[in-house]
Amino acid sequence: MIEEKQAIEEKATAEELDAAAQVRYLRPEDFDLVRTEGGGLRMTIKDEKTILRVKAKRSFPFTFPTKYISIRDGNDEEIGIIADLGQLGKQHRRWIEDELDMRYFTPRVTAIKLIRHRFGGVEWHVETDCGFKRLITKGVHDTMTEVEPGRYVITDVDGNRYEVLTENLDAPSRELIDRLI
Amino acid sequence: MHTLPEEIKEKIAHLLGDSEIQLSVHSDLSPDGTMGTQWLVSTKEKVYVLSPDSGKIGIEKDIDVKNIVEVKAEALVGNGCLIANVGGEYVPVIRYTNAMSKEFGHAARRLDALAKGEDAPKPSEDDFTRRCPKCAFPLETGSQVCPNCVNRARAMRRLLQYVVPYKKLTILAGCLMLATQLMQLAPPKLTQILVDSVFRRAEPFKGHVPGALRGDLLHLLGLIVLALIGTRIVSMVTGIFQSRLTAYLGSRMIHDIRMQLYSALERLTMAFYDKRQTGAVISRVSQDTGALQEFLAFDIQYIASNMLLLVFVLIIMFQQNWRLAALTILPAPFASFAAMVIFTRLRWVFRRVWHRWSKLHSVMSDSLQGLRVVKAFAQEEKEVGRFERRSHNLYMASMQAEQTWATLLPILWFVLTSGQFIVWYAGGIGVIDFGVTTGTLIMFIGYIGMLYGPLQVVTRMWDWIGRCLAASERVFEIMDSQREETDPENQVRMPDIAGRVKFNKATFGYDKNHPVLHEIELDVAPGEMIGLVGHSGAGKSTMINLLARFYVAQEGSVEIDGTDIRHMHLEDLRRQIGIVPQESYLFSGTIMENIAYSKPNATPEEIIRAAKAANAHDFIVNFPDGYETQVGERGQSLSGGERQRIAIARAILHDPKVLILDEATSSVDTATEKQIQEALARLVKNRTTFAIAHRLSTLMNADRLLVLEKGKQAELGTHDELVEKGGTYAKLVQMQSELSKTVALGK
Repeated sequence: MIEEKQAIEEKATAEELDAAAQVRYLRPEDFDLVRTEGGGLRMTIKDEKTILRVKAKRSFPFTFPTKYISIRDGNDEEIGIIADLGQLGKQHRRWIEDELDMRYFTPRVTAIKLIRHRFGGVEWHVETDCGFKRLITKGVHDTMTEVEPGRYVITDVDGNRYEVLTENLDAPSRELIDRLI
Repeated sequence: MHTLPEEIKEKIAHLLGDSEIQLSVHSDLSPDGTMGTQWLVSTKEKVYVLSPDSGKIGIEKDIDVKNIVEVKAEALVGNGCLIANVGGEYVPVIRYTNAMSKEFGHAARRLDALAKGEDAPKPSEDDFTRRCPKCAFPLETGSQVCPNCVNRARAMRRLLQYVVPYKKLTILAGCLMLATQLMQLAPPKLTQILVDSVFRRAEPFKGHVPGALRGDLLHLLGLIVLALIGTRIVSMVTGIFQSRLTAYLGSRMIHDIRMQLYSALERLTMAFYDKRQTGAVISRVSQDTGALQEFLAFDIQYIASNMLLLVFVLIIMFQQNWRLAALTILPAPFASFAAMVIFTRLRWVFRRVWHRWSKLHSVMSDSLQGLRVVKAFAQEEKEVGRFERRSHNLYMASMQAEQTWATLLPILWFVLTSGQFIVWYAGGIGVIDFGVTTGTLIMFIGYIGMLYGPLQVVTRMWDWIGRCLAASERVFEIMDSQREETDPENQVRMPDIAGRVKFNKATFGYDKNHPVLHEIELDVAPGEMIGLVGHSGAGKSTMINLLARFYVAQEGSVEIDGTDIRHMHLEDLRRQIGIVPQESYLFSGTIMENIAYSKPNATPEEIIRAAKAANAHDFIVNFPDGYETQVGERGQSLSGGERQRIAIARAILHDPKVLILDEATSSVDTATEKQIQEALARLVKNRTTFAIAHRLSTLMNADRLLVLEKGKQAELGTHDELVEKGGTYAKLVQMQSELSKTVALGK
């Protein structure tokens, strides 16, 4: 009798272990999204639960910015992954993209006006899709990460990030950046 | 925080009514997420977000304080957002870039306090990003020095402070240098006398100089040649003495700086090292002091002597023939300008080469160090490909650099030396039409040759000085960083503690806005053993960091024998706390020295006793060199279990009242595990012990267990109590027994 009980318990924990390692993909029909008045996102998983505060995080921020989106609750526990935002309806997709845009604030550099060494630091004047910005980085090379050939992420002294796609730059900017790397 | 501009204040006067503004902060993003401005303004009743846009004020958010449950500043990627829980609904209130994260972290805490009716937290220096007024570089807490823009004069003055103790010798070196330079000026002048007073008088006789004159001329010739030899010898000798002296001075001064720097490094807080990579700090000590040495020992005298030479040569040239002199230096400004442009360009291209070199290096060291993994996954091709790409990049860059160098330098040299042609031509006309002697012309050409060196130095000097000042500023920054013990006189001496440890609502976060420990409350009796349990990141190591005073609790306190440890004398504290770290670090030296690290005067008997208690004695004696076996970087390689036992022996000999065990996760075989367990059991006896254990078997011995979850105290009790309770700990125990079964099956 006792042995039997133990066996059942063991089976249960083994299942729990497996369950914890399982990835849950959220299909569009599995959930409903609501944007609250204040601008937060609320999600209802059908026949299950409602999450008051939904966060969206990218698994592959550079390669797949609209795929493998991890949906999390207020405590940062994963609820599931949306494999591709393209599967969602227009409205839902917009809301999640807004949420992602807010989380990953990475202005794209469209033109580099100036790069100037000033003792320990480097000053950049850049035109971005979010407007003009004067930024300061600690050096050049340690602050530029090549995420893939021709694509760089610059991190400034405050921890803000800017993306540079060399092919999208104009010729003078490209020459400036070519001098550095 | 930020003062709300009057014009905005006027425009929202109708909103505010009589209410007083409690808080106003501006963000650097506009509501649509582009670069711009928004204001967060709060009164006791309302929170507004305002967007001043072309003269109009838009009200983006309008929230009643009484509805707010909680306010948090959430760190996102590349920006942050103030998020409020308004009656159960989460509202993103205002966004800002990371440049403003400290301000909004503080604003969130103020609003949170306001909503909960608590007292507003007092702003501290930590709550604002202080920036350098000149370059907007953020300043570190407690530092007034901008790491980016260097105050040249100040840094130079401070650097020169190191010269003061060697004042006399420095002046002597200066005098020697002056003498050397003066001697160098003589040869052209002597040549002039030789040509004008000897050769010219001899030439008209075409080899048949009359006897009396011949004697005179030969006499003069001999004298001049002797003078030439003499000046050369004197300048050589003074030069040798001067160089030897400056070599001594430079090396000696840099030794002083290095010692001061290193002793500062040893006394800095752990927080300093957490923010930096050890490698970067080491390179600062070696590279930056190296740069300073080059400057103090070599560059200073090189610059000074060249400047002196420049001035002397110019004086003589103008004195001899000011018209010719003025013509000669005509191209100098152009040459200097050209040099500046060219060297800037060269700096760029060579910096790029250097950068690509280091990238190539990192690929190489990466894949060679991990060669076992590369081979195991059969990825040799890929690694070669990666190397090929980097190597190609390097080849392109270095080719371009060499070609640029090869092209620009001859051009620069031509521009620099073009004064020569002017001297030949204008000087030639002088000889033909204006009675300038041949000797004077030759002397001029001699002096102009001496101008090129100094001219080059003048153009590159600022570069050298700049580099030296940047290096010195980085060095001084470390010297000025916060020491661990700021005021040792006011600290309570406690040479002999009993070992009662109390966490008194201790709250701490490495970043103030993100506490990783929340109000930990724990009272530990002397000799008691507490096991710390929790997932990684739960705050176990942070508790240890607070106890050892590597960090200080931001709220609440940690007490030993009833005294807040921040008032305790640091040396007394650390002397009585022993740590067996997760990674048992052994210094290079013998095993004996490693065991006796905290007690260098320990007798051999004591060392053996400690090793024996740590179950280390047997394997040590089995080494050919016994206790005198060399370990560390270049010594005998020890297994993880052996290292751990040496570390335990070290702690046993140290004999602390409070012991911290950070158990290694590395798995050892069962026999070794048993040996280690035994050693630990002996070690913890009669000591207040905090054990972070990953193997629950260790924790079985603990008197009580503290389970941490996300920085909060989740459970506290004995093993049996907690298993009974069926909470987090019970789950962990179950999971681990499950896991060990899997392992057993796997075997």
